[in-house]
Formats: sequence, structure tokens, C-alpha cells
Amino acid sequence: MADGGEEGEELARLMAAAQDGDKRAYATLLQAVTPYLRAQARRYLRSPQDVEDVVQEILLTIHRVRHTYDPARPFLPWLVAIARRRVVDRLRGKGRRDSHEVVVSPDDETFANAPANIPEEEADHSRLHAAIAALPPGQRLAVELLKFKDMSLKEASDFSGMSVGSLKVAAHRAYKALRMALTGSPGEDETRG
Amino acid sequence: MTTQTDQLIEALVTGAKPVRRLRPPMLRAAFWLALAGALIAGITVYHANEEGEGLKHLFGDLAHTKFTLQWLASLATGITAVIAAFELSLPDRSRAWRLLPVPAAALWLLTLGYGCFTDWVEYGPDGFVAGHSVQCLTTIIGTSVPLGLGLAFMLSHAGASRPVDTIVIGALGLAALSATGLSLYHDLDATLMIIVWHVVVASLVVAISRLRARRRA
Repeated sequence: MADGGEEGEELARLMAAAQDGDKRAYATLLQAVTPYLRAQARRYLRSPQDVEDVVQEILLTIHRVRHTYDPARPFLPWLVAIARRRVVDRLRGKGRRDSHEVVVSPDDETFANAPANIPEEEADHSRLHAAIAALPPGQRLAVELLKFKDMSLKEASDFSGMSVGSLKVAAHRAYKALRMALTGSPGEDETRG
Repeated sequence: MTTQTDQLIEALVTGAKPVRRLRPPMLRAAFWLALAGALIAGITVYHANEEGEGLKHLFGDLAHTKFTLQWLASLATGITAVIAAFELSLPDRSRAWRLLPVPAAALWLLTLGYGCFTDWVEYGPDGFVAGHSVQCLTTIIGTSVPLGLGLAFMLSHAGASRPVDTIVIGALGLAALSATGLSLYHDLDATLMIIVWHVVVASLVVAISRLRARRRA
């Protein structure tokens, strides 16, 4: 379509009909030029969102100034001039935004505090799993449903047949037992008394 | 995203009404120039009657070669720049139209003097009073603003393709025609002030249109 010729003439005819109020011709025209506009926009813009935004801006501009097209003249130069203006506006806007923002790749992320830059050692889950396995069945079930399966108290109660109250008690006791097993201290609850 | 574009097309088509095509740019430029000519002629006759000298004063001035040359150069600059602005405002016209007013504008600028640009404040028996410059500026604004508003209205579609070119060349045409008019009904040569005034106004218009485009982008 970029080479004009017959397709250009057809578009010119459709635009002339659209100017006279032929909605079907207008729809055909806009649908026909959209892939072309998208391809043109992709040459200058990388983000698909930017491309689509600029295509929509071009379509809106075409709509706004469609009375300026002279059917005696070729259609494509008219279209291309409008498209180019909108792409330039978009690039200018983007340039301005980008000049205020610095994109930092995650590799460059660093902190003033030296230990924060040392990659975290992989957590040792084996002790936790062993401690959970050692819990009484009721407490183990409460932890599995509430923490591993991420259920609410109500869901866990429906699933296990235990009451909400007994689930709460079982979970509380389980956390205390796990804290004891992993850190050797009974935790805040106990220290606060 | 594509769906959004499809929806936009649908909305545009649904709301599309028949539009009246613009007449050829040359015809529209001629129409605007005729209106501008009528306005300037009207102001000239009004001033001539006010001063009680009739048009004799004007024709006396036209006998001076320098005045006539400057007057013709500004008139030619005005006409060519306005034609160029009407052409440039359309997306599919050549940018080479920008060159049309260049020869006349060069001749016009060569004939410039300071004129009334340097007389903003006068110190006399009444203390500091507004100089001739203030009066000059008032006359310029009175001529340029009505012409400019009409031109801006007729070229409002230029934002779609070449807003800055159109504004700059349009302002040149406006400045030249205001100078053409003012040299008929204003005693002092106000050309430099006219140019400065139009440069300031054109810059403001460009800045505003840029801001609007920025907000949209």
C-alpha cells in the first residue's frame, strides 16, 4: 500500500466518499490504513503500547482534519504527512520523559550497606519441614492449611471439619512449637508474658 | 490494545458527519487578503479624515522612492507569506512554499530603520510620559490583532502537519501587511517595532501549541 498506485487511488476514492458522509467507506478506509500506520510507527517506536497510542492519535487527527484532503490529489502524501507529525510529537514527548528518568538495570542495583550486596544464601528449609513433621497431627494440619495452602480460617474450618476456634488454638500452639524448635527461644509472646 | 484501536475506529465512524472540503489554498488566501486590504483601507481613510489632511499626505509620501520601495516590499512580503502560509497549512503541500516570501522579505528588511522603536519614555515639562513608542504599539495591535485572529481561524487545521512553519510564515505575512497598513496611517516608521511585536506573538503561539502537544503526548 505504501507504493500508492491503484491502492492509493482506491483510498483517495474512499476518503472522498467519507467526506461526503459515507460511513461504510470511512470504516473501510480507516481499517485499511491502520496496519500501514502501525508498521510505520513500529519503525520509530519500540514499545507496542507507544505504537498503538500513536496509531490512535493519527486516526483521531485524520478524523479532525479530514476536510483538508483534496480528492484531486494523491491520498498517501496527505496521510504520511499527518502520521509523521504525530510520530515526531510522540518521540519528542518520549525524549522529554526519558530525559527525566534514568533506567537502571537490576544488575546495577546496589546499596551503601556492604552486607546488603552479598547475595542471600538460600534459606535452609529442611529444618522447618522436619519441625513441622514433628508437630502433633492437629497442629500440623492447621499450619499446612493456613500457611502452605494460604486458606482463610473459614476455608480451613470447612476443609478440615475443625472449628475456627480450635484451628486458631492449634495454629498458635504450632507457631510456638516451631519457634522453639528453630530458634531455641519461645518467642515474643512468651517473653512479653 | 488493538481492540482499543478497533473501538476507536468504530466510534469515529459512528460520529462521522459529511464535511465541507476546504477550497483551494490560493482562493482562501485571496479571500483573506481581500478582507485584510479592506480593513487596512478602512483604517487609512478613518485616520486621513481624523487628521484632516485627507489622502493627500499619503500620496505625497509615495513620491519618495525609499518610502515607495519599502511599502511595495512589505506589501509583496505580506502577500507572498500569506499565500505560503495557506499552502503550508495543508499536510500534502511542499515545504518549499516557505521560500516564496524570502526575496520580498529580504528587500523589505534591507529598508528597515529604527523608526519609533527607541522612544518608549519621554522626559519633558510634565515629567516622564509615554513616548511615541506606546502610541505606535497601540496602533500596531489595533491592526495586527484582528488580522491575526482571522488568519489563525482560517489556518487552525495546520496543527495536523506543520504548525510551526505555518505560524512563522503566517506571522511574517501579518507583520508585513501591518507595516504596509501602518505606513499609510502612522507618521513614524514603525516597521522594526512591528517585526518585534510579531516575533514575540509568534513565539508565544508556538510555545503554547508546543505545550498543548506536550500535554497530549
